[in-house]
Amino acid sequence: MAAPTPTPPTSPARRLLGLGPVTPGSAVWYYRRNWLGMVAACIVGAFVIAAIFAPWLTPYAEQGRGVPDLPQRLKGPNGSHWMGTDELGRDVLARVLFGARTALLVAIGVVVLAVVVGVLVGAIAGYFGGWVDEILMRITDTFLAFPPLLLAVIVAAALGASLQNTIVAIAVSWWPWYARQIRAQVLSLRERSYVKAVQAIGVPSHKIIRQHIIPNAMAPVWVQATADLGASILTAAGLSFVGLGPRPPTPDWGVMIADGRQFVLSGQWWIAVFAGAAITILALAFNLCGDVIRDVADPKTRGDQ
Amino acid sequence: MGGAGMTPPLVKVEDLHVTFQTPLGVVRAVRGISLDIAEGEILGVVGESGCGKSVAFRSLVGLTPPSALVEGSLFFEGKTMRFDGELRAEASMIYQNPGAALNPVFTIGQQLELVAGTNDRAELAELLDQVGLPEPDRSLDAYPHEFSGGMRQRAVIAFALAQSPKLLIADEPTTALDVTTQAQILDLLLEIRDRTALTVVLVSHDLEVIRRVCDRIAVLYAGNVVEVGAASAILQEPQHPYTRALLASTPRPENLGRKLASIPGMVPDGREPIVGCSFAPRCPQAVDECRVEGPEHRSVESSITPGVSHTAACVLVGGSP
Amino acid sequence: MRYLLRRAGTSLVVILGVVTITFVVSRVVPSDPASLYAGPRARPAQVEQVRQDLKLDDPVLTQYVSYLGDLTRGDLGISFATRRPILGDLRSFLPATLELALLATALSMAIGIPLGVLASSRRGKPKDSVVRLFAVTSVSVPVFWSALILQLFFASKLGWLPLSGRTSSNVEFGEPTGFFVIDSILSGSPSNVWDVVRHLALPVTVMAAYPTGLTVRLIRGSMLEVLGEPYIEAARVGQIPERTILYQLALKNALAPALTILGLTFAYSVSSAFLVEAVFNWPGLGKYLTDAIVRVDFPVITAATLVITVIYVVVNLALDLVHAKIDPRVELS
Repeated sequence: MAAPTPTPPTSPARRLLGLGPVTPGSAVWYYRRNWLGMVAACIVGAFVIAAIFAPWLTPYAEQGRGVPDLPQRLKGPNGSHWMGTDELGRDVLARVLFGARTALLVAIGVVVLAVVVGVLVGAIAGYFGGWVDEILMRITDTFLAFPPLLLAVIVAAALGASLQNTIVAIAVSWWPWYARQIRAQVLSLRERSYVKAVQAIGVPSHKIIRQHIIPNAMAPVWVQATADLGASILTAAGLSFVGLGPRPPTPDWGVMIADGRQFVLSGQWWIAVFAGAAITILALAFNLCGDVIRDVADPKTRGDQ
Repeated sequence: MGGAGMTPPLVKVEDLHVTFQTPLGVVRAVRGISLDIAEGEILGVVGESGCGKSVAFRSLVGLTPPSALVEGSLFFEGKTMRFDGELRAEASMIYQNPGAALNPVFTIGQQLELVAGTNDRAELAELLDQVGLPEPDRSLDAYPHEFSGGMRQRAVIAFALAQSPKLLIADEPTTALDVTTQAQILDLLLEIRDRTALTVVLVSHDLEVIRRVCDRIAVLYAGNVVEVGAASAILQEPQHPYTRALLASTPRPENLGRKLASIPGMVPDGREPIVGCSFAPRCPQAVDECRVEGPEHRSVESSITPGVSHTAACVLVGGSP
Repeated sequence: MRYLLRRAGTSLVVILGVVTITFVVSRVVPSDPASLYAGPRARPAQVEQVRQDLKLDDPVLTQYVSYLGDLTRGDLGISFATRRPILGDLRSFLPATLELALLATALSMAIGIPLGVLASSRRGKPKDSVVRLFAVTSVSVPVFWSALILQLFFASKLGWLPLSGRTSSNVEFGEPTGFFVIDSILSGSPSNVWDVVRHLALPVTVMAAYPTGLTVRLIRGSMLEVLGEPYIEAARVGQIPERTILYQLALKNALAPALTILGLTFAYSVSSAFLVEAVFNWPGLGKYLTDAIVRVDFPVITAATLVITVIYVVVNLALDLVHAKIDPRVELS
């Protein structure tokens, strides 16, 4: 019989954040035991670092921001341009590094915006119930009736193509998912005795929702939101690909694939291929993290590898 | 040694251990149960929740999660059996929650067909009739959600009997039912035993249920048998301090007007090793010896059922180990 | 029956809601709807013409009523780029997209369901991990990129499959249904069928990837839940063969909740059609839509979205009715 698993020592990072050792059996503890989840988390970390330090990681920072270098156009991967250059002679690696900024900004922007709207609508509908609930949920269901990407397309088309509008357009098609999730949580929380107790002593509704309902209903929403970061990257890339994303010279992976597409069949594959690989790897890493987080958050599945 | 008589036991369990590998360490749910089950008897298995009674008997038919390690020996009619479900050929089970034990999207008839291995409607209806389901032919086309709790448990019993088992393991079969239905289901079990000489293990935390139908009783504590013997002997002359405490904490006519005793303390944590007698920390009569060495089973000569084996694992019990 | 009527009623309400949202997005949200509708290169006089045609100076409510009136008459407006009624265009492009979407959905079910069942029955074992990794990868690759890569590889480099389009230029047959698989079979020439199948291979594969991953994850999750149910334990104790337990007793329970997701799968196929068709130059609704986006042909964008969404709502309605058929408990709730 094996002895109880010893507690691992506190990592320097956790000490820096003022956190104690990881409690065995907690969600974080389970996450750290999943090697695939750890690899994925490292990849996400690498992209975050690449995004933050992009100007220092490449000698072609100006090109990364969009300055052309026409004499160098469409050079294949070589010693000075590891991923080659694009149709304006810009270093593809630099564009990919700066593109990580756009991608992460959009991914986080979409999720945060959608969560904020969804949580407001869902919490109000769930807490008040009755006709308020009825009307809000009818509206939510109507938004859910659109295929998600298409709703984002018409909103982006109506607003005009830009980075902010991409975020708004995708968030418009996403908030209903969070609204439904939070409403279900609130419906069960509303019946808890501590909520009944603060209601009985006359605490106003907006305070109860803010202080007692939302904080307790958020955990599953954050789990879902993390799992959705990958999908957010993919949706944004799709919009960029059809021309509803950020305008040039903003570095963006979806735009790079769209622009590089015309050169792929004539042999200059590197622009589209490297940009697409960046999207795939980051989306995959986010999705893997999301999967593991979802598993460890649910006691029924937390032991799964 | 056989239980109720001279015939060799139908089932013999020796030194059964069930341990769970969890990330928080090893949990020992069953710690060395040895038990004989005689053919045709109804054996009651009683104990507090968490004492391992369900785990132990589910492990006999291979119903343990993948993280569980089952060790020990199992004999059926003298033949060695594995714990991977080999016994399923001879044994059936009925469950605590009959609603959950029925597949919601198939009719009773469709499910019964699969376990009975026949699609003859008359035969299937006959199986339902035997467990006292009204309108057996129409019940075949019903979905489980159209049944009441008692009817569902009857259907589950019909499924169990459809495999013509020699042993029926009933895991808390009446816990989820109301009192009237409980009595009906227990009567049905008795009737089936009388008609078919089926051997039944009735696992329950409820002494009333056990008292009503059982021939013999095994009392479990912390994953082990602490006392086993004829039902009347155990109920009237309990030997083990734990059995006494358990009886004293059950509402009975003779306890009327008296305050019900509760047993102080808690069942030991399955993760902690046990030194000495597992009940010693909660036992009012514990002596120093109890905390050092685990007691052997000692036989008791019962005045009520002379000649029937009755043993208890306690140093205070007279008689030879 | 009562369930059917009630469910059809809610679908109508949802469609009305969808129309309303589309109206708001197209007429209320933009700062100057007239110039959006007239297109990016319209002269001021043309913009003014559009403003009068669409009565954009009327109160919003009046506009809404006449918008609803137009829709009930089947009038989806006129594409400013092609100068043709949009409804007619959509009708001619729809079969090409439906053919892709239906085949992709079918393929993703055919692969996804058995893989999901397999993974759930080997929970935590190597086979489960491989299937899960496959599933998460297939939902992480952008479709337009995988389309491009496969095109580069199988069509351009290896030359095994055609680069784009629905048929080779020298192949011609009658198009009574618009579904080329059926039409080519009706033409009676095996070489026509082969040509159609070869053209379908890449786009269908690419489009099926995402829904396959989605199906595997859903079926696996839903199966795991079902496999933990006491009635499955009971079936095991009852010595019912494991295959019967997995593929009949458990799967029927697992499919019921997963059916809702089949609708989502279809929606993803249609959504990705619009990206995939652009890459394979596939003359369907998606290509029509992307072309419209490039030309900022706003009437087409809203009309195509509206039509696709209505189709999606109807598909979901149909799936709910199938769900009610599978699960006897649905009628009650």
